[in-house]
Amino acid sequence: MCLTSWLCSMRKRPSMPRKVSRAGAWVVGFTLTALALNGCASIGVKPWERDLMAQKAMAVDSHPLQSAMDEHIYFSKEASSGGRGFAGGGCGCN
Amino acid sequence: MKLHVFQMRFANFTGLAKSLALIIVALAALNPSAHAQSLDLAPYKGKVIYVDFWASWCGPCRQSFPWMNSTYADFKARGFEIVAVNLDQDQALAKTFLSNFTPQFPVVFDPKGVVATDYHVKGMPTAVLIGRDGRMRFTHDGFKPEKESEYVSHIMALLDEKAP
Amino acid sequence: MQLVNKRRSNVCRALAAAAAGLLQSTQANAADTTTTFESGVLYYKENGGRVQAIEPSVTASYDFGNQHRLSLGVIYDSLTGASPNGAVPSTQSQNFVTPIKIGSTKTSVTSASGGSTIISIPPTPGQLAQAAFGRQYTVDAGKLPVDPGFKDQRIAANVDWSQPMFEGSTIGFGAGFSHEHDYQSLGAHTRLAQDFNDKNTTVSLALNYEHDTSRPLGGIPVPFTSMSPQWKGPNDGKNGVDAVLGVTQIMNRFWLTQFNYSYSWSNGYQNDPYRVISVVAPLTGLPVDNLYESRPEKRRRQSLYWDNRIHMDRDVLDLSLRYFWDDWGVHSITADISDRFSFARRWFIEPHGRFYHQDSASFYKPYLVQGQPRPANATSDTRLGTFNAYTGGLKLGWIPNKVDELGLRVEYYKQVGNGHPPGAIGQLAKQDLFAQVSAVSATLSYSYGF
Repeated sequence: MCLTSWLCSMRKRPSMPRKVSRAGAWVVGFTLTALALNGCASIGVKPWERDLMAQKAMAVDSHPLQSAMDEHIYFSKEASSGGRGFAGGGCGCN
Repeated sequence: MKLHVFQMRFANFTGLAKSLALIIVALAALNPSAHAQSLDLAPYKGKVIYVDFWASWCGPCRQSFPWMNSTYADFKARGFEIVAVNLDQDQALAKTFLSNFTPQFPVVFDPKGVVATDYHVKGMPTAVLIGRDGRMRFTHDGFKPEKESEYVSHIMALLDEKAP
Repeated sequence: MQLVNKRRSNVCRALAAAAAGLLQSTQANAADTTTTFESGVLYYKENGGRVQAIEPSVTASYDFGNQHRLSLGVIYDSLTGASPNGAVPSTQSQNFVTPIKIGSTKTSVTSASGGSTIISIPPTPGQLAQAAFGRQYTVDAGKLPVDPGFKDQRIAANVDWSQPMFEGSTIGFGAGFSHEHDYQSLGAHTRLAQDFNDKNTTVSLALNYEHDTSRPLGGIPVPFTSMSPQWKGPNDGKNGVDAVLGVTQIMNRFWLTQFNYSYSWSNGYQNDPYRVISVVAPLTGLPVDNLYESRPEKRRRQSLYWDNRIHMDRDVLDLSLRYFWDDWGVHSITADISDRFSFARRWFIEPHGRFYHQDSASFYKPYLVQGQPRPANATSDTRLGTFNAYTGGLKLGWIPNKVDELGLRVEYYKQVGNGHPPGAIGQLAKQDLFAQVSAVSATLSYSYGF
């Protein structure tokens, strides 16, 4: 599945309020531009090119306990919360 | 002689579309330029060859080496060969890894993934088992300790065959 | 750790994130280790004798084979100190009286808290026996009103299971709880992840449900009633649902990018039961009353989050941006950057910086004015006000082997808000109406696997 088309379709969803697309336009725009420039075919790596992705420091959440503590402090002090994700990357080993 | 290995998996033939796809893949593999640096298995003609694609950063690969060492020792006399294809970008890391396992079988270095591309490696590790007839017969995606007996049964089945 | 007041509904969520993150991070070393531990102790201290906290935590994870992984996490925290009660400073000293439970081990007043005295309340008809006493504290002229009798302990635990489902997909689910003497939270979560493009693309969905019960000392006050030591209404609670939809993409060998959309909905008791808002006289600006705050019962939060990890030889750069908004009128932007620099083979040093800006909730007001029409909702909680926040930190890490890591991180956090809003009445023009926060924290962490 091509990510570009997936993101495009996500952007067109009527359930996304106008505020969302305006606010995140530059973020989505940048990602789309990056994807478009690369072209779907050349994005990503071969299974044997994941040596750096296999490193702990490159994991989506490399220090979960630290992240949880940070989130907790910021949640206690600020009105915003959340946003982080958890999946993807890694060594992709079978 | 260079053995051209085609995608001829015996298992998983589930339809015409899949067969057609595999034929296309096989035809693509015939492109001679893709084999410029491909693996030369000529010295092992008539033997059962276990081609293992691995890298030092891959956890299951680490588990597979002791098993490969003992399996190689068990079946070498019956015409079993292992060729380990290393895919590390940095060969020094591979050498450190190897110093921990001292494999008795040959290791070739393929940092650009030329051989891995030829063999359509989908993940790390991948092992391709080639029969005495020179054809690709089994593919093991990953290395799972609980499947060791299955891997061995594949090897023994091929060892029992006669060279053409 | 709640740090200040009663806004802790994401306790389970934070733990769930920790468990989920652990699951993810251990995948990198899959089959290298079957058991991993992540442990840490956080020490946190705010300026001016305000909140001080110590928080040890540990998460253990065990792989039963084939990436069937069970994780258990426990967090304990203990905090003491003074917390702003929401009232404005004044040129005159102010007395505040709040409920107290006498003859119970659960009393929140200790001799160590200082500054509070127990007073007897003149009996009034129809009143509960417990309300015969109250706790009074005095705030000097010109000082930010803080409640000195603040002491709390929390224990939270989380369990999480994850396993592969179909080819290239992972499912996980779990539950968590958090307990304090005046707040309890129960939650359950599930998440799904599916790989595409030779595992270069991962699409994930996480769902969380949480039920919180608030049982403050003295009961739940009716919004906009005067602060008093009288025992008040029964417990109250709220329910919340969160969803995170994410796409993670390996761009090339060096660059991992992630984009998330989060939606969060909660309904129920959203107030801080201990927090008041001052009512001031229209000309002098002197406080004449303190009313319990009032927030809407419903809140819908959304955020967009974009994270990039870039590997540059000896450095790993992590850059993330978040845009957050909710239907309370809060908008915020967060930029976070860290760079992990490896040296001497087994060491790394990681500077960290964060910038945060938020615009206030529509019902944020530093005070109410006597005689003016009362709004539907009002809070003086500066955490719902407009401010910038800055974080700077440094982490030193030691990696004895591939799996283990010892780290020490020190950070400084500072909020900067406008303490002199235009139009401040009378004496208020001279007061700092933003409860400035600055804090230092230190984290010692150790993770290991075997």
